[in-house]
Amino acid sequence: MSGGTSSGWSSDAQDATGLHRTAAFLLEGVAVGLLAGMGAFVYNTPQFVGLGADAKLLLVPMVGAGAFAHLFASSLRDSIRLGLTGFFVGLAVFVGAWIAPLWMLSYPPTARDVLLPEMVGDVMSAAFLNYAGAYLGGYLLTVSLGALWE
Amino acid sequence: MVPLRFPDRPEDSERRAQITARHLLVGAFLVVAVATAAMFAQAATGHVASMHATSANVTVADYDVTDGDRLDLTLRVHNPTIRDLELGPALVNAYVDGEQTTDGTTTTFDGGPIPADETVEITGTLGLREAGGDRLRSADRVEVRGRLKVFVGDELIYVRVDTVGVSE
Repeated sequence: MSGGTSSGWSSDAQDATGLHRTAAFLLEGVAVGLLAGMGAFVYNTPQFVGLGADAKLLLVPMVGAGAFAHLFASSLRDSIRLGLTGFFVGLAVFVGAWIAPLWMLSYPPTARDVLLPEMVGDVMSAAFLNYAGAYLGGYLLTVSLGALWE
Repeated sequence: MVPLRFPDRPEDSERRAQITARHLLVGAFLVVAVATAAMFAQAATGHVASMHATSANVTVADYDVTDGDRLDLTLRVHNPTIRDLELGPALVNAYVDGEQTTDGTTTTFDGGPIPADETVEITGTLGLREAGGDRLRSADRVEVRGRLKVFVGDELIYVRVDTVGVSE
């Protein structure tokens, strides 16, 4: 990891061992992904949240997850890795939570076969329409502002 | 041995500032994550419950034709889900030998909301068609068909009603 060409605004942390860094990276990636995925789910099901608030506020967790992915990273290379890991972990959390009732409830296998493609279609279109935009928007905004700042 | 303390070097204070910034960052993340997790719990249980609610079981507990030619109907509703079901206006009708006896308008049932995983009796009064009262009084079996509107949070779900009441 280290010893390569300089990767951006700040150098990779020098004092951490490889194992420590891998563990920290996985922890950060999963944490960011969980936040992003839960945020995506909440944004797309505001009828259950009972906030009565402006639904746009529910974008905050997704945008925030993208921002945290960059802020947690020690270098630009790290940031890209973390950003992508968080994005895909978040997508998995969102899709998983969306289709989980098909197995939590006792659907007959035939009903599941009919419902699964429909629900995957719903959740993937939501993922592309708002999750990708909000998460990546938050990430890129933070990267850009970080570059301006330094 | 008492550790020697040297005056702060510039790198030390910079490092301390970095650590403090890191703590603030993790703290901010945790605040957002905990708030999101709390909303996610609501959303995920609501999502499961709204898919489950269609299989709520409805049976006729009791029916009675009043003197004013109205039908007092008591339905027993089992809520199989993990969330409470709020009741909205229902569109149910009573049939005798396949012929509709009630006036076909919506009915507001009392007795809701139906708590999670519980069975509750809800009562409503239905208007009757002409001669509907006599048909209902003389019938041994009354079919009740239609649908209940129920809500999980703000999500509307229709629960099918297709059941038979037998006069005592």
